[in-house]
Amino acid sequence: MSLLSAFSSARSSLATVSQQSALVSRNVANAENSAATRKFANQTSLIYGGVSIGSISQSSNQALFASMTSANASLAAADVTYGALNSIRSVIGDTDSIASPAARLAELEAALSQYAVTPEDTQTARAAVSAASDLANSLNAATDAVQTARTDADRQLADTANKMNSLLDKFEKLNNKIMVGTATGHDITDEVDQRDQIVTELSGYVGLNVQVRAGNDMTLHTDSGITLFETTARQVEFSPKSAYDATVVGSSFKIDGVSVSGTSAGMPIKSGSIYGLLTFRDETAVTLQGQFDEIAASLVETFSETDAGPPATSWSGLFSITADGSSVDLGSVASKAGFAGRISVAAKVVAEPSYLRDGNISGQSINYNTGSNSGFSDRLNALIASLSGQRSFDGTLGAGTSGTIGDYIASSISWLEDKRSAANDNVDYQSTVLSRAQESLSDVTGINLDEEMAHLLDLERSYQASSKLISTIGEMIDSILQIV
Amino acid sequence: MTNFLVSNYSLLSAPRSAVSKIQQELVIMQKQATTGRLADVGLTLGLRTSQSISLRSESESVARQLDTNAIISQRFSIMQNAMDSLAATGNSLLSSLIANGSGEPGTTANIDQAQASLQQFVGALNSSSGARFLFSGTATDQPSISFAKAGGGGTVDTYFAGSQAQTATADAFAAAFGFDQDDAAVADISASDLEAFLDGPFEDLFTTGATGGWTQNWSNAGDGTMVNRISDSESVKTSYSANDEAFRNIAKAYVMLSDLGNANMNESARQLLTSRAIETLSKGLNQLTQLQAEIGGSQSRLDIADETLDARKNVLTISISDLEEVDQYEASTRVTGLQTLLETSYALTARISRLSLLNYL
Repeated sequence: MSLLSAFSSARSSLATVSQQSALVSRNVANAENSAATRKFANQTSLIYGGVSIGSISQSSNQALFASMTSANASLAAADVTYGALNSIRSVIGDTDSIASPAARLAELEAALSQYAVTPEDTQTARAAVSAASDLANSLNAATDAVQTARTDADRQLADTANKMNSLLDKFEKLNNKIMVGTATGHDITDEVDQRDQIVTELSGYVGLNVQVRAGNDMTLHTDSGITLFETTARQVEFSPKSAYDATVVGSSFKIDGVSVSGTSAGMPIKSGSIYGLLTFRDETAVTLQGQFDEIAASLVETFSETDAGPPATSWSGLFSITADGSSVDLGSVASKAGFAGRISVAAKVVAEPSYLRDGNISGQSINYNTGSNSGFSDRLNALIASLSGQRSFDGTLGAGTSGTIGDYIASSISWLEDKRSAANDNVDYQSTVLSRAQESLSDVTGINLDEEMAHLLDLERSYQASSKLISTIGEMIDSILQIV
Repeated sequence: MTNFLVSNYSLLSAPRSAVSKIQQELVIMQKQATTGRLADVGLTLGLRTSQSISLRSESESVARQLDTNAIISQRFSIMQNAMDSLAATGNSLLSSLIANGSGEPGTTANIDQAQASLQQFVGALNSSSGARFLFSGTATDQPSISFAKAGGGGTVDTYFAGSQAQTATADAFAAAFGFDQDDAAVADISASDLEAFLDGPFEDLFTTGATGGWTQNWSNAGDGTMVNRISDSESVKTSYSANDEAFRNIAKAYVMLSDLGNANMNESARQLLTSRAIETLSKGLNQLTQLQAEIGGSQSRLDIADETLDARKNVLTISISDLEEVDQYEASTRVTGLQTLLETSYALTARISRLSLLNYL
């Protein structure tokens, strides 16, 4: 041991302190960055008592990070579902909205009753026809809203696919850098932060299963097990449809060549905005459209005209399902799909409302008012009775199997509100979970300014002491030199 | 090395997220406090929304039933008024007939009064409400009684203005007796001949059916029955036709007195005619009273139905408000509570952000 070794130890301490100060300032700069982790130096004692910075590490907690990404994925799914349902609901409206199909149906019934009491009055006839047309329009608008929401979901999926591909590319570069840096002992903490940030962002799109292998190599799988990244980035593929109607089936979303949802998917994903969007596009919206079509089909049937036959044939009456508003044989229509989008008031009735009272809208010589009486109300009374009569509905659509048309509309709206309410609760819950997870993660891995400041004070003292040492040793060497 | 402290980010994000939550809730509560209704009915009710919608459409249907009942009730009232005036006119003629007897000056007065009564008869039967003629049965767009011009081409206002009905009476008279009603020979008509005429050709002038004189010359009314619902389970007959026997009898009596040459008849024939007219008119007026009683029955059923509907509407309104409305008092108390909470949160945020080691270095 000699003065010179004391001198070099003090010098190494100065070097270490300045390096650590640099780290402190890096930490302080990132104090409000939620993605940044706290960096710290690993010091190594040298022989003869010196010190040096061996490597830079960062605080991390893989378990908390995983729970944060999974909460993020679940929240994203709930969020898109709620958003899409809300957009449809804004068209269907509140319970007291006058534009909802339920209110429009009540208005049609009211107008028909008025007409039945004053069958000779053309004004009430017109009022009944325009109430019918309002009802048809509200179903058209509801269909539009559903299909627009599906188209939007499709666009978002396309955007998501592009975004994911570019994120995975970036991820691949960072991962390579980190592996090389880890092997060569470079400071890769900032790259790790960036890589974690990409993982967080990806987890918003699809639920992730993240694993870190030897050499700091990260692999990404979806929550269902489809590989997103392993050594190389996998391709995310999606081709959107240009427009949607009730009969269009959306194309599948593929990661690494595997479809992520649908009945044919072997490994369907369970969270993330992709899950939310696909579920909405292919299930929720399709079911809702089915319910609207069911409503429209029931209306067409209620107002249909049946000839004497045999065999008796039903022709569409007040409500038409053809583009030109003409009447068709209902037996020849194979599928109800898209009825709600096509339903309109028959052109013949629009031109001459009294057909509603007399019948023969179909043009098949089905005339109810055989005596041509202006006060004839039997057909109108029959229509009103039929509107409030019990019917059966397709139970697979989740809005009940029997009831009046009004009941079915109510239960369809109720079905939607239930989904929306559940989605809203889910958003509330998942956002609380996410913010708790973010806070816990940040508490463990984040930066505290006070701590950094206290650390800086330590470093300052250490720097002062080392400087003092150097100056004292210098004086000592000087005095030796003077003696000599 | 991991931290065991609280990071700066979570130190400030905790109050931050609390503030945004409180603000969201405050918006909802404020809306509820001011409107007294749930801020988002569907979101709160969820699957129960269908109850609310069903209640609303039921309440709507009750309201419309009340509306249409009001229309029906108004029509019944107008019909009753018309029939009241018919009865009054008929009764006053009846008492005149009895009072005036079959003497010469009385007969002229009777003829004049019968003519006036016939015009009043047509006016009352042609009562309308809105676009509807009330006594036209199912042919509600046609006036109940209208007189075609004799020889075709349009209509005339009254029976005596050269109507086809008047011509039919004259033709029947001429065919039976060989001369017109104002011919001096009328004085030679015997009571038995007159009786045969009244029971035969004259009677045929007031029968209904495709070849009946009433249908051809007087009435446009349809004979079908119109029924309207007045509640979920009840219907009433709303069509009453000028073809009813009551009206035909009254018209018959009026024509008998005014258009059969009453003035020139001999005493016995005139007595027969007068007594037959009194008989026919009384019969018609009795039948009219029965008809009024029938409509009165429908009116009282309508009133009962309206009462039931009113009661139901109240129940429905209360049920809807039970589902959709909130206690405004509670909501406004919550607003105050949330305000306090928000202020506390602001104060905390400010204090926490002031806490820093830097202040002491």
